[in-house]
Amino acid sequence: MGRWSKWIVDSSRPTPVEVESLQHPVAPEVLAEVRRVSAPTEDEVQRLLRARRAVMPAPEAGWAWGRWALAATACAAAAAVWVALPAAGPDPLPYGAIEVALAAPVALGEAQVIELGPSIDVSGAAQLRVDQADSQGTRVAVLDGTARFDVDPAGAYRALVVSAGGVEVEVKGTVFDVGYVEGRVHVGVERGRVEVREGGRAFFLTAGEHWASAEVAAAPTPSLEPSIPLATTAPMDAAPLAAPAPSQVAASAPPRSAGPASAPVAVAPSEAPQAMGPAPEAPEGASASATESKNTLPVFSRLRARYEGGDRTEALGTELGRWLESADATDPRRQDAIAMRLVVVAHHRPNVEVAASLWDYAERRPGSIWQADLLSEHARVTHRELRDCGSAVRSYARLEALSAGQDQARARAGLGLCLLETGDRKGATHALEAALGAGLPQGALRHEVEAACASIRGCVIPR
Amino acid sequence: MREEDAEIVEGLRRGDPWAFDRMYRRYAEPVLGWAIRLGGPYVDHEDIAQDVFTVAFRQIDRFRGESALSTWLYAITRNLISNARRKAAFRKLIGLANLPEVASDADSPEEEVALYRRRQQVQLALDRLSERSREVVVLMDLEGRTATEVGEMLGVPPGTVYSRLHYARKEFAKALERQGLGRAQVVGEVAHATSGGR
Repeated sequence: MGRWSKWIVDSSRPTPVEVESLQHPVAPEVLAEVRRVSAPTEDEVQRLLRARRAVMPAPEAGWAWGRWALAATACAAAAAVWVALPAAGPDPLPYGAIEVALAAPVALGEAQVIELGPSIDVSGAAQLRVDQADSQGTRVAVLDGTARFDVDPAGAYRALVVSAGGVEVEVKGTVFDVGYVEGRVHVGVERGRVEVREGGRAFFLTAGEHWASAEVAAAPTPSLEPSIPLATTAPMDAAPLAAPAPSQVAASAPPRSAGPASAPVAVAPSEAPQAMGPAPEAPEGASASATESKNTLPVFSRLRARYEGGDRTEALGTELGRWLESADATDPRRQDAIAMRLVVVAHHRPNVEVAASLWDYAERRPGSIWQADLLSEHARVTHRELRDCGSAVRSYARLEALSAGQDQARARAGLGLCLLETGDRKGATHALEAALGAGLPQGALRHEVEAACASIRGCVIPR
Repeated sequence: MREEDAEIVEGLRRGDPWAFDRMYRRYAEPVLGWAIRLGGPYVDHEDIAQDVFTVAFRQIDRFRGESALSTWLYAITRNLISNARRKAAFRKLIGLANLPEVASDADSPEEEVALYRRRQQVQLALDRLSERSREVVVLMDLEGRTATEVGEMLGVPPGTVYSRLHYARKEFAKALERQGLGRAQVVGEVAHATSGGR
């Protein structure tokens, strides 16, 4: 009888598949795939953003809206508001693929583009600083390397001033590049014209012309034209400047590699983290490319762009080591290079010494922009490679405090998993629930967190 | 309304192109996503998205600021999609609308073509749902919004959203199966892809 009743109970119990399909009619894997394929691709978003310029209203059009019926008084009122517009405060900075903060250096990789407002695109391999980007105009400083500026001649807010090594270039709606390589500035114009100002003199460069600052061999006759204000509606057009002085204007490509490279300086022993060891010998190809880049493009900017693009190869570590060897001891970028090199080395040699160096370096520079990178690498190495959750917890806790959004959710997830491993179930529950609640993205980590949460009594997986 | 949205709306009312630009950048992705998922395979999602921003700019004076800007943009998208779908349905009826060919020219890498093909399958599956079901599945399951948010966007209480979702998920599961996107197929393909196609 007992056997029969057991059979009846067993056969009427729903199978795991039935339970699963009732709970999740669409399997999570399928939903993830549906989400992935139906999300707009980066290309589609960029295409839409590019197309916006075709439908973007001109500033005047906006003012004219609904005010056609008004006569001269209305025009005056509109003009008054137009003048008052800049007082509304600075607009936020570009929100494209690269985030830029005002007055902070930003490394631009070769394939990257910064969109500065409605009409200005910046590309090239360079280190830049955006000093202003709002409805009053845009000011960019080229700190190192060569940047290409594409300014829509018909766009709104196209007023742009680019500075590099004491030279200012003001734009009149054009495509041009400004380079600042090894102490020399060069400007090349592809389309339209720009106004170059250097030490009290000013002159125009038009399409096809190039100019380089002092110490560069003078080239054919300059084709200068007097500096006359252009008829334009841009809100920040320059006043006419003094008569032009002769300058080094050429119709050829700007000489970017003239002049000697800076003398190599040894890395201060106290500065170089011990675990990194000496910079390894570069492979033949890497050495050649390093030499070449020294002569043409800003090496540091390229290295940083590669790092920020996710490159963690040993070759990058080698090149960073070489750059550190040759960089001036007072160069502020040394700190950046050391942090990047530490992360790259940790990626390939995840040992106790490297982990200690990551932690020490992060500890010594609490406000550094590299904190998050160093701490997350420390957390990864200690948690995943060395299985030392006691150490990892410190990094995760710090990361949680200094990050936001999905990064914060990941830090909480790591913290929760580590706390669980160290036996702190209460702390783990709190962190795991917080991670899931903060929108931890789908993937292996989320599965791990859900499984860990499910293993703790009282841990709730938010639906 | 969020502070940034309020600034955008303020700017748009002044006819400020910078505000127009900010709105575009902030909402390009969600608007395109709605157009892809709700528009279906016969509707050009990029055209729809473009129109949404143009309409938003023209009609900004009608926006009262009582809801989030995203909710208002969603309402515009929904109307435009509804019109576009009606036109597409008519064209389909008279035999003028065919499924758009997925680009396979040299510029499109293989994975991209595969992605667009797969997207078309998903769009066809979503197309089989009723409008109400499609909206809740898209907004809740695909975009991960809360029932309260979705309720606000659709103008219904959260309880109604949940009850719609319950039936919508079942409908969607069946529709996906019919498009060859059941669990077995998807999991099998993922496993195949991760094993290097061996």
